[in-house]
Amino acid sequence: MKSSKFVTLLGLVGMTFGMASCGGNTSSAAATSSAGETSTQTSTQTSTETSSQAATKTEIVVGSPSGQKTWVETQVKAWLTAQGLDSKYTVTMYELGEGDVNSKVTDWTAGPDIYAYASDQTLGLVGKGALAKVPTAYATEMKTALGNEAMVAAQIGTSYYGYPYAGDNGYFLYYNKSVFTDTSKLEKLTDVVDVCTAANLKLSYKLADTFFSTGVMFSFGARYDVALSADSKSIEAISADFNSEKGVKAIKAMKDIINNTGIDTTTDGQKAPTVANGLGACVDGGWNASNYKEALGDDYGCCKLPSVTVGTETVNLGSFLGYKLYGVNPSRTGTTTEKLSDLHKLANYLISKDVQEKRFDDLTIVPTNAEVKALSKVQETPHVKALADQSAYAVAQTIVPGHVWDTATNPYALLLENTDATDEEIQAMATSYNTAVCTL
Amino acid sequence: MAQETMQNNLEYLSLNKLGRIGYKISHFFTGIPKKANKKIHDVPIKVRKKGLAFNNIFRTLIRAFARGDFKTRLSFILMGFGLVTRHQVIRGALYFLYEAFFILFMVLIGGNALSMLPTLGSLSSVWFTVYDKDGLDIQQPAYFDNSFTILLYSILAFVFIGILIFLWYNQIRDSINLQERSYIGKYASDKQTLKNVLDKSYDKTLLFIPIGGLTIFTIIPIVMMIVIAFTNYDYFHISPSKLFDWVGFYNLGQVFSSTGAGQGTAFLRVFIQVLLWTIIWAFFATFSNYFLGMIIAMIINIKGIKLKKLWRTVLISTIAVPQFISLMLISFMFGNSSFAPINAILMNLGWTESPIAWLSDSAFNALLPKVVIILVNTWVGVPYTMLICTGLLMNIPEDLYESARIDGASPAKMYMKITLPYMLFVTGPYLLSQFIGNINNFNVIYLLSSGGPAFIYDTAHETVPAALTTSGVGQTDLLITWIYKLTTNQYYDYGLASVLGILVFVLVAFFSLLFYNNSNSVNNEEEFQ
Amino acid sequence: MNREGKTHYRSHKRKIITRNVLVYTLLVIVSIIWLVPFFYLVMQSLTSAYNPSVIIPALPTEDNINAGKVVFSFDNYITLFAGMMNKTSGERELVYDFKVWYLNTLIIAAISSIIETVLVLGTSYAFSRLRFKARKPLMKLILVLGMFPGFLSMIIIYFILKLIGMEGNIFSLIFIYVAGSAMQYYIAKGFFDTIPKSLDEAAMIDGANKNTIFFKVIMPLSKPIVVYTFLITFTAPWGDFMMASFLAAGDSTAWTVAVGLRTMITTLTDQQKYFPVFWAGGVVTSIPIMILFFWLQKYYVEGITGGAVKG
Repeated sequence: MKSSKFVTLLGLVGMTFGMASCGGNTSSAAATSSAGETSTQTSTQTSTETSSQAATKTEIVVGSPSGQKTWVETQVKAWLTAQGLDSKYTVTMYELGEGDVNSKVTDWTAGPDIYAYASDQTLGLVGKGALAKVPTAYATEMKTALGNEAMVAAQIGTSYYGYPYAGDNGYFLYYNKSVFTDTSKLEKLTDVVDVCTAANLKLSYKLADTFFSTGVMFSFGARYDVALSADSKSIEAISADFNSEKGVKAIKAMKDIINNTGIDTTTDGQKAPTVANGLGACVDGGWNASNYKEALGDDYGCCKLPSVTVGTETVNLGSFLGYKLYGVNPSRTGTTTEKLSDLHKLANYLISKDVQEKRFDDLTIVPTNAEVKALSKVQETPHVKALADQSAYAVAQTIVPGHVWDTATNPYALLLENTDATDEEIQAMATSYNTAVCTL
Repeated sequence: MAQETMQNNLEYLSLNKLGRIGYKISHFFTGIPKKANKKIHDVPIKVRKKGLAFNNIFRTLIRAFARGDFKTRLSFILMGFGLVTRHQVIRGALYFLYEAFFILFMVLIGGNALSMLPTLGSLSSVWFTVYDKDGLDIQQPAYFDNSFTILLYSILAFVFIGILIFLWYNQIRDSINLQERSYIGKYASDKQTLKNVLDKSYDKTLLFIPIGGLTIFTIIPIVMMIVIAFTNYDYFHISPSKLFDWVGFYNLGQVFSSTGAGQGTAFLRVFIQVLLWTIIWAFFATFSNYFLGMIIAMIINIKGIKLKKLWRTVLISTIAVPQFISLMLISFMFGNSSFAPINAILMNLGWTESPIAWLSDSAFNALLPKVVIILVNTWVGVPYTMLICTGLLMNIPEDLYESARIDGASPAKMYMKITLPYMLFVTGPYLLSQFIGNINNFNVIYLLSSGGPAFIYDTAHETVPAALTTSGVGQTDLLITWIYKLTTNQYYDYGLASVLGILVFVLVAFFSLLFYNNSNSVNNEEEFQ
Repeated sequence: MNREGKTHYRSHKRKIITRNVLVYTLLVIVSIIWLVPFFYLVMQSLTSAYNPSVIIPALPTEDNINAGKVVFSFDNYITLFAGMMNKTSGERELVYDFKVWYLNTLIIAAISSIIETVLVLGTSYAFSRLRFKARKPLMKLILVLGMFPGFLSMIIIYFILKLIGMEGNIFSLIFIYVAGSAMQYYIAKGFFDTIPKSLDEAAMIDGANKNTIFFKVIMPLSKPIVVYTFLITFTAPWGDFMMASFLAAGDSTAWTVAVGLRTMITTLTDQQKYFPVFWAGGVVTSIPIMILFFWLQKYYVEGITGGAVKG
């Protein structure tokens, strides 16, 4: 009786040949210790010097967004040659957008060795074991060279995991030079609005987008703090002080903005601050810089956000700033300590002063190195200067509690329902927002 | 069958239209206990049948061992031996090859994985610090047990074991049969086997690659997906750097829970809304496409309309453009800002003052986006349904219409009594597959609205689990787009996604079974041929 | 014919004319609604890059064209193939190589469609004509398998491919498409069901085996369904962005058109610059498929109407 499932037999026999030829490379090393799950164990071993296997070259896979691919490749290759390592390594480029790092790479044991990622991806990457800790020596170097704010972007718990190379995902004020002939009027928000209204124009400040409204909440110093688990891989608790005086003042400032008829807080697409669009200035992100520059031509101007006054306190408006960093992937199969060491050196090189300057020259990317930021050519590029200036008041966009992005609990939405809120009501709003943010 | 007797029933025929509907409904409900009764009675019969089959298997095995000569007995260990030595070299060799493959697999991969299955590994990774020659402290991991691969290899092992048992039994049975038949002098040979490949075994020849591929790339992933639903594989337990564990029904409980720290959790509420919308959407999408397509097909089909091919071609051209392009185009046209094409035109014409948020307006449970999505889906799907209805309409014999016209029937009545019943009957299975397809219609929803406006939570009165916020589930999300978001998000949760996937399956299976058990189209397949 | 008859005839004719006018108007309206998006698509692909002032291309209204806000040019198409013009350096930089994607997709579509057509037709024939023990259970199984949403299986498929060493390889896509051919048997089976069994029986009396029947008897009658199956399997890879992007890995020379175009507009940097190029890419992708559809329309219609309805 010929079985009709003979079919499956033959199909699987075909698999034999596939399996037999590749069966070897998938056996996982059997664990000998069964002392429960340990994920961190520090033991120091000095690695014995073994000369590299001469004949075969190891591959370094460099992840980079498509627009920077060729540039990064040139830099990496130049460095390898300069270090005399080009006989040891070959470079392969891997196209990976900075914001897609967590979703596009499923298997980090086959992922890129060194790659660029956005700061909000950090926690996910650390959890997957895709980021190696920055060696202490380099971390100290970075702190002095880049300043504290940039280092927050690389920090998880008490360790640093990445090499920040760009601080460009933030927003600031674009203004029309023909309207703002007196740049001192850009210091205070009320002045900005006055100048606009005098010219029959408005200021666009898209508070309906939580990206911008949360920035306002940061202005008076209120912050959230994310407590991580012992192995720094997951969020355990969130605490915040938006319900304190700092948060209340911020909501009051927001209320003033909403009630100001000269400010348009709705989001109707992205509009350059041209007279044709009815705007004298707008708060918008660095990603629109080239577009707005083209739209405004000679009237193009950027500066940091203005300041607001609540009661007796005047502070600069806060914002978010997303950084871009280079990370080293220690999980790739076959990575030796030596290779990792070289990779860290490479990453450190890629954020060094010279490379940052070059990156600015070739790609107009906002640098993180304090010295480079101070260079005149950088200072003279409007949006770069604006971002650099604003970065002092910007919160790094790393581990952001999920509820921060909720529109319904945001004080902006609450204020819209009650534009004439009293002090108690504002306090209530602050408390409810704080509770929302702190919910895991 | 029940329907036939019903329709022949004089009592039924004598009722008016309303009465007939009432009769059908009451008949349906009274029929349920009867059907249930029948099913329950069938169970012991089926059990007995299965029991007999098992009995048969054991008897054959015993017979083979007891009465078999050494060749057959050796087949118990060396698969295919009995066949090879009885002139069926090809088949015997193939059986043996499988045994070799199986042993290879188990030794290299399977045995290891199976041994760790209960715990899904005990040590995932160890991170240690090494100092390199320059004194830099380099952090490096060493990976040990990977829960995911343990699970995958174990499932493969189970599948292979199952196949092994099946084949082992088959070759023993063949061996003993051959042996006993050979006493009478009749046996099949290799030549016969080869000849059968193109004839009697043609079904196996045709099916083996497709079914083989199906097993590897569809069945095994689905089985694994179901199994993952019982683990806590999520962002906090990412393999390879961490292990995940069996959690039994925890994920399922999370879906249906309505209590949590504090007062209720929002999960159940959101889940029910997404579920309802999935069903409502599938229903409207399927039927709006169907009826609109039918109407257009009928209109084009009217005698005397010229350029039939032109009209049909115009509509078909929408199929040619890949969906992700055309849907992105439409989602762009329906953008929120006042510069998006449709808003700009409307504002230019003065019909509206402020831009309308077509795809993200959250009033009335996101009614506007939902309507827009259904309409856009009609745009996408009508060409297909129109084609099908065209073909069908051409098949309806003209004389039916002629005789109806002679009898003085109005066009509307002809539609209701001739066209509609015929179409519904013939396209029954098609409609069902469309309905199911729409439940799982990822493209339209995701590309148009990305799930639409987010749900509004009342954090003061309900706890909102991370699965809702981090996945960003929205009011126009289907279950399937929600699953997608759960799997591609930074803080993903595969365990929960699997549970939702299983629930989608249950939903779909429910509707299919309902349809199949009650439809004529399926039961009369043979008659149709 | 008396007077009454004549008037009756005239009014009847008038009724038909009014009906025809109504119907034609309706059809024209329907056609316009269906074609408007494509006019817009083509128009978008022909206008130059985004209006920097509002980051959305202006509508091609008369005012805008006169004001110079909307300029018609083939710039987007050139960018698609030769790279985006860098305004500062004046040179074109090729960041996204559309040509390579197109070639890849063409190869994948061609190979997988040929193999798949053979397999799908074979499976459908087996289910339709041959009677074997596992027939009904297999059909039910395939029906049930089709009901599972497929995303989670993508990760699992990745690991299965890794097991046999095929991950990250563009041809693994062909593997996956081909492996799914058993699931697409419905329409072809329905079509085969309509071919009378008497033909089979006649051939068998003449001594043909099942294989001969399949190729010599059934296939010649099945031209519509062959073409239909080929068409469907050929056009699938062009629009599949889910599975392909999963296996895409980071080598952009291995991407398909769908993955590439989607990456163009979903990665953070340069997103807005590339939207017009995306539309141009869409037009270029759609053209061959549309040509195929028009050319093979007859078969497609016959195939789908013959087979879809029986299910």
